Amino acid sequence: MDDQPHITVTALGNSGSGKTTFLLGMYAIMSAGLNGYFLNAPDQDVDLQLAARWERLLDDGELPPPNPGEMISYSFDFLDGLQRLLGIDWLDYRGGALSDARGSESEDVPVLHERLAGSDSVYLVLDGSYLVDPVRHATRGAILRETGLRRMTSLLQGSVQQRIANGAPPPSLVVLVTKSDLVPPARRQRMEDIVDDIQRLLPICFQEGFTTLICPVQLGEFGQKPPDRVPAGLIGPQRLHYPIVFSLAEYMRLLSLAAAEAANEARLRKREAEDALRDLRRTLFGRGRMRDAEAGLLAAQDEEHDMNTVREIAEGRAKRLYEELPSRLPMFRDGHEVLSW
Amino acid sequence: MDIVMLGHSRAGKTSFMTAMYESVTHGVGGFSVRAERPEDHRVLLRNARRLRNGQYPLLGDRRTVYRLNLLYDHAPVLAFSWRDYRGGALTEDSRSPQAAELRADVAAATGLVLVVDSTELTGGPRAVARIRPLVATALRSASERSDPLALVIALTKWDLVQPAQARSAANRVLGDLISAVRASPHVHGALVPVACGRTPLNVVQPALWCLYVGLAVRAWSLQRSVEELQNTALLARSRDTWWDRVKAVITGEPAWNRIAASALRSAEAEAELLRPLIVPGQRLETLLDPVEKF
Repeated sequence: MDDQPHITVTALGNSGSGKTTFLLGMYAIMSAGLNGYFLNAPDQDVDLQLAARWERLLDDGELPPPNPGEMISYSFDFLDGLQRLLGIDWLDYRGGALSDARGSESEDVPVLHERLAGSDSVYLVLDGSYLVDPVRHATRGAILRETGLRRMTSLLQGSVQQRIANGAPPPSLVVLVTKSDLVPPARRQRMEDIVDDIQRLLPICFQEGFTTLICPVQLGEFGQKPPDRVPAGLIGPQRLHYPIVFSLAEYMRLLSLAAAEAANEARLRKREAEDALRDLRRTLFGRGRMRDAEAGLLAAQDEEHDMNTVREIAEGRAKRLYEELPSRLPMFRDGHEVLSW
Repeated sequence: MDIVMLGHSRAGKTSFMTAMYESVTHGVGGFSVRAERPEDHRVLLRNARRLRNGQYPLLGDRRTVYRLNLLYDHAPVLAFSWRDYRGGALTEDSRSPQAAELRADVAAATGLVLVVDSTELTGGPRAVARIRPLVATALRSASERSDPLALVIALTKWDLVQPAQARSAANRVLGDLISAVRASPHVHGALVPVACGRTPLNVVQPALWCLYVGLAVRAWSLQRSVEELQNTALLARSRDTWWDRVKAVITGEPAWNRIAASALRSAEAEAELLRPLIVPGQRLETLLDPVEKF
């Protein structure tokens, strides 16, 4: 298990933003299997707890109560059929570090910085109720403060700089618009309006180096003023699995790029070793150095072959995963909309 | 062979087990099954009689383990155990002794029978949530092993549903698991609509599928062993020389000719075990021809 590749995902969002419900729904859908993929908690007790909470929601329409913990972590396996592709190390954060008032002084900040610096994908959770009307200059400040988006941006900037200094690419970003049924249908159907709002609220997501998916998700259609207990018959989860599919696809894409770079470096080393060998063969006293050069050549050949294999597999996986995403979900890379992966 | 039957409460597990036992006790295509313990035999047949009269067996409140024997033409072919859990154990956490026992049994099982209530297949997200623990358990068990596993999805209460509608719902709810198993080289799956009650339907197929896989695995293993022993004998014979026999007398080490003879005897002994499996295996293959396999 430990030798297997794993992806680290951190979800940031205020308490009540819908993160827990999203996670429960995503797990319920994907652990039952979706388009050949499965999500599975290796700890069976966790599997049952998540499923039981989802079943309670389906049975009596009661939304999960706000979670008392500030950091909740989960481990999942992502499988293609019976084949385990990746481990997923998932953290939900809803704590005080997101508060505008005391965020920067929160004792969570160092831990969260470290976590974000090690995250391959970060989810910025925004309650859809803040997108009922277009975001305007007059409302922007309040939304940033109330949703924790200002602090999320600040935390993300700091940790990304650390990540880049460590030679790692910035994490992929998901702007998760929860309770999207609260957004009026006319605005929801025109994704451009939602994108405009997100660009005003989270400009970091459209900066160079970032790949960002904007994904509105919903549990059902409960109207503009949903009751505390939603009608179980109206529960019809939508798009809950796309964020994790995107995170994995982007991880695979970056892996394929890194492998291509490593293969290229190995190819250069191979050429250098070949040149060195050619020169040594012309000399009379180069036997010892020839053995070293031959060993270097073999090592470079092996590495080039291995990295090309990794590149091919990761590229294929990324392509298959990206094909799972509907084209109408907006995705941006370096600030430009991506129309094809 | 160890078969574990899983399903929710009231999915029809105990009725299915009872109906299966009665049908196969009367004999199916030359096969019959007999419980090792006379008490089990008596209870299972009594429950089956009640079931035919419309009285459903009492719900089990704990795991029941039956030790059974598959016979062909009255000769024993394969011994197997059949573990019937109460439905709740599937969704209890590790603090429940029954749940811990179930997890250990599933990990060690060579056959899994997932009992799915067909009447619940068409219930939308609720149906998916209800069947999900079965899917997750089967997936975990199948993905964590590389040895062969027989997996049967028994769709019970088939006489109470519209077959076309239920089949389509089954594909929707169970299709990903079926596709995953189909792509796997070591898990051998079958989907069987089942009805118990007065007019039983396909009640023996799930058990026969597990036993067929168990029999085939045993036969493959014996066949491989025979071939390996024969190869050893050939190799040993090629090294047999006059000098090797003399040297063996002096050193006390076994001579190659003796090694060859011993390997041949072992190969013959393994072949003796294999022969009685061939005809029942072929017969089971024919009997199970109509079953939907994946």
